[in-house]
Amino acid sequence: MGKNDLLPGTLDMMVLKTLTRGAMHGYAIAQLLKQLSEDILQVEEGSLYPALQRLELNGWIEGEWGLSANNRRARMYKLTPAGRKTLASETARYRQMTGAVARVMGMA
Amino acid sequence: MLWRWRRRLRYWLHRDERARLLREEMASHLELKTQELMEDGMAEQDARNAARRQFGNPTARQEESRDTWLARWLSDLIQDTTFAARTIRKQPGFATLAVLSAALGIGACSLVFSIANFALFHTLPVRDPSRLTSISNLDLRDGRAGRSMTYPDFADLHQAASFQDMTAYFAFLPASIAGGAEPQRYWGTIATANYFDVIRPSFAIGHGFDAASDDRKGESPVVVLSYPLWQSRFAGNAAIVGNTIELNGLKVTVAGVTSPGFRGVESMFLSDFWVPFSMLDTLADVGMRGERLTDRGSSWLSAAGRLRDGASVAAAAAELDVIGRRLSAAWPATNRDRGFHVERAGQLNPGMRRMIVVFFNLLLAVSLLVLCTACANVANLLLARASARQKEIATRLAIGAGRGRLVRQLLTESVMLALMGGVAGYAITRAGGAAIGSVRVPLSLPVDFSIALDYRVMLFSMALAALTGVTFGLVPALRATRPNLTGALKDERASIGPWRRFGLRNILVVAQVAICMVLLLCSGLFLRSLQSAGNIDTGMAHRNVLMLAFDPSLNRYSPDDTRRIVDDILTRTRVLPGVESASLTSAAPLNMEGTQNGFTAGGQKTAIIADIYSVSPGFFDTFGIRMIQGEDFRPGVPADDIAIVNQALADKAFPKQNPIGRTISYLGRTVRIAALVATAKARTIGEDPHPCLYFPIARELRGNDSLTGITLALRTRGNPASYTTAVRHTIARIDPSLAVFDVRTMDAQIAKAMFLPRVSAALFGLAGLMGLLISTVGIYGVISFSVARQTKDIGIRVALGARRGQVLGMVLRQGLTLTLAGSAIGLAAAMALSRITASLLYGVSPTDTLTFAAVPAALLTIAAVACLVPARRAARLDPIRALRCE
Repeated sequence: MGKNDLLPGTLDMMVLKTLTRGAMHGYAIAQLLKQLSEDILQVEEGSLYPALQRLELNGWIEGEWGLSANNRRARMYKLTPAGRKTLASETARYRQMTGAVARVMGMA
Repeated sequence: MLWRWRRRLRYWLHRDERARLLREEMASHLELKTQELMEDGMAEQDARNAARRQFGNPTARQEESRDTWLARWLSDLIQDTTFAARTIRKQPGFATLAVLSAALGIGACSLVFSIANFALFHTLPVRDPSRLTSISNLDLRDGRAGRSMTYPDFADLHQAASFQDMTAYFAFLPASIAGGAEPQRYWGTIATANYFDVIRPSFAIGHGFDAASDDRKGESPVVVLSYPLWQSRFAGNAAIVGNTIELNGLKVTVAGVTSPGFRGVESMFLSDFWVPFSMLDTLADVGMRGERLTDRGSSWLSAAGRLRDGASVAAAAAELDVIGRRLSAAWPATNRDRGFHVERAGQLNPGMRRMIVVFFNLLLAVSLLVLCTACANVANLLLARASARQKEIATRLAIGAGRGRLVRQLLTESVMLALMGGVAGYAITRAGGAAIGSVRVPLSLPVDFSIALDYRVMLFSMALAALTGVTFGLVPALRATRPNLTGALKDERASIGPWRRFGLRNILVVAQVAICMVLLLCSGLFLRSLQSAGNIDTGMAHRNVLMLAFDPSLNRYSPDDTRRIVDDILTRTRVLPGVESASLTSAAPLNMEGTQNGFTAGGQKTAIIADIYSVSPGFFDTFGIRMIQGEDFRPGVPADDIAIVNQALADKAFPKQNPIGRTISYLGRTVRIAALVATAKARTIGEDPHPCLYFPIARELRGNDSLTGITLALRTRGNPASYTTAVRHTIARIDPSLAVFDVRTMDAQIAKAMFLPRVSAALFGLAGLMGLLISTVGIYGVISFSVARQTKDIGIRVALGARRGQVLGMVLRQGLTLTLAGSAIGLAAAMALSRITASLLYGVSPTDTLTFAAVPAALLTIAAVACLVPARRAARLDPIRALRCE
């Protein structure tokens, strides 16, 4: 994560958020992140994978081998209930945080 | 939290499989990306490159993913450990030296720790041992505790509110017990009836005394046996409980047998049996008559108390203090300087603790010195190896390894070596502990030195090993990874210098040699001391003398019976074929025991302290003590008022006068000196000439109260030990119920008396040997290493025409300079220490010339040999190859 210019933990949070749309594989998550951020977040796509490992280890997502849209073998990730809960609390924390930053910067 | 660790572990265990799947997943990501880009119209190669660029470094990402499976440090540790194990296996010689050095040092220290552990943390095998305290008299004049107590004082302390209950006992009660076989003497405890209710040990069978019974006479006699006595004397027969056995010829009912671990409350004196106070009068006449229960002057008891719930030792001490002060006021004649001391039971007797602490400090100093030399060695070996690996390390630093990471790896290796040393050291400790446990101290009391190794000793060894590994691995590791890349990579060793005079390695070797010198000088001195102790003239002809002891007082004979039996034994053994002379004495010579008392010579006011012996006619003959003047006691003549003195006494009491016919005053009696004998060693082999007073034993036989009984001594033709059976038979025919004990020859007795010089010589000899071994390895290592480093330099010298002898000389000079420097420091230190060692030496000056000449010479020789091997290697160097190898 260190090499990405993101606030720590935000990548994990965004991955969880994208997975609320349903199970998808790593590439799809990367694509979606890019689309949703309208190409502003330039994340090395590779750094997604350590994040996925971390989330899975924490029991927030579950990976399962399946077939992608064009019939390739791919690992599909889906959100677990624990992941949902984490996402909710992380989102709240993030709102607080950005609000605070914005106030400091005089933009609120 | 737990499930996360479980998952982490599972991931890590399946890490190869998971890594493969992750790679596949990443590959499929790249593939999808490439396809998409190609669909957008990019050429395949361009698309592939663009996908990779977007993705970043897949290997780094994989590494990062792996880290999430198991904490980085843990996987690094595992990696380091495997790597260290591999390097250690690759260099078995180096590893053996390092492990051996560490093992010797750690073993020595752990052994000392195990002794301290035994002394400090010994818990009694009783119920709730933390509430059991031992109470003793405290002498307020010198502040020493651990003294024995009077019965009246005990009775007053008994009221103290801090205690549930308190018991008093005497743990040195000899008794002869016959259990089917020939009677033997055992040592037991005589205690108040509540003893077992206060101490609360567990029982193998039966129970303790009836606490409700009275301590005064009139109760039926009972005994509690220790487990070992029950096993050895009564074959573990359970039916014995409730039946009677014979104790000093008295029928006594066995109440129970304690469980195997319990041998009384005293930490080093073992009890074989326990009897209640009510048997005080009937049991034996060992000077403990009934009046001792009322006499405020006679201190003979130990006490133990069980604290009440919530009462602390400090509170109990405060309460005893108050009682003590009240008693001092009430009985100033006896209790004026008397206080009381209370502490947790099972510790060493405070009086003894001092002695043990001195010995222990000495041991600790020696073993720490050994550990230091050992550690210096390990550090030196590591330094040498680190320099040999400089290129490898520099390469790794150059391609981006973190310094911290490398230091950690090197440390892992040194700690691993040290831990292996710790395991080996623990084995040494076990062996050493067993050796100490098997030591028989030359006292006739049963003394226990068995040292149990428990988890604390184990922990200590391992902690010490880890500490050793870190301390002595850290400096070499830091030095090895000091960034000096270019030089090291170019194999350029000049950057460090071929011969740095004050290099760390040289300092270590000098220190090592200095310590080794001190240890060797000490061991030399102790060996000389042992040698001179062996040559000490005991003043006796100790060959062909057999001694054995018996104690008629244990059988409660009347004085007349006693005299008859003793006379019978003497006359009948005297006529045994081969026996040249037979006599009796109240105490065997060189027994470390015996009575001492003061007397005054005619006219003088101050008393002279003398060893008091009671001997039969013929004593001086049997022991070969030269009669200088006068006549021996005569058999059959009752002579209360005469004594024989030795030369040392005569010199002190009647300087430059003839002592014969003069009188002295002893215990209120006037005694005439009938004869003068040569001075012989009385208690210990190393003592200065002691004044000795010999009285006729006939007088003492009316009421002997010496604990060791009477010793019969026989001068024999041929091997004295071969007469043992005949003498035992003779005595058994006279009185089958008389226990015969302490059978030994005078030669064996002298060997036992050499115990102290022998133990110290062995101890320091061993330490010196270890130090020598370790330092030899150290010198050899440093010189070999320095030769290896100077290969190019030597090659140039040889190429320029240096002769072999010059090269040899140069290397030898390096080694000997170090040795000389260390030796000089060591010699100075040993001189400074000589005042301390002086007190432990026999007949040798602490700056003994022979030792101080021979040891440095030997050390230098050994150092020279250690240097010679690498020096010859250097001298044989082929200049062409030497120059090419760099």
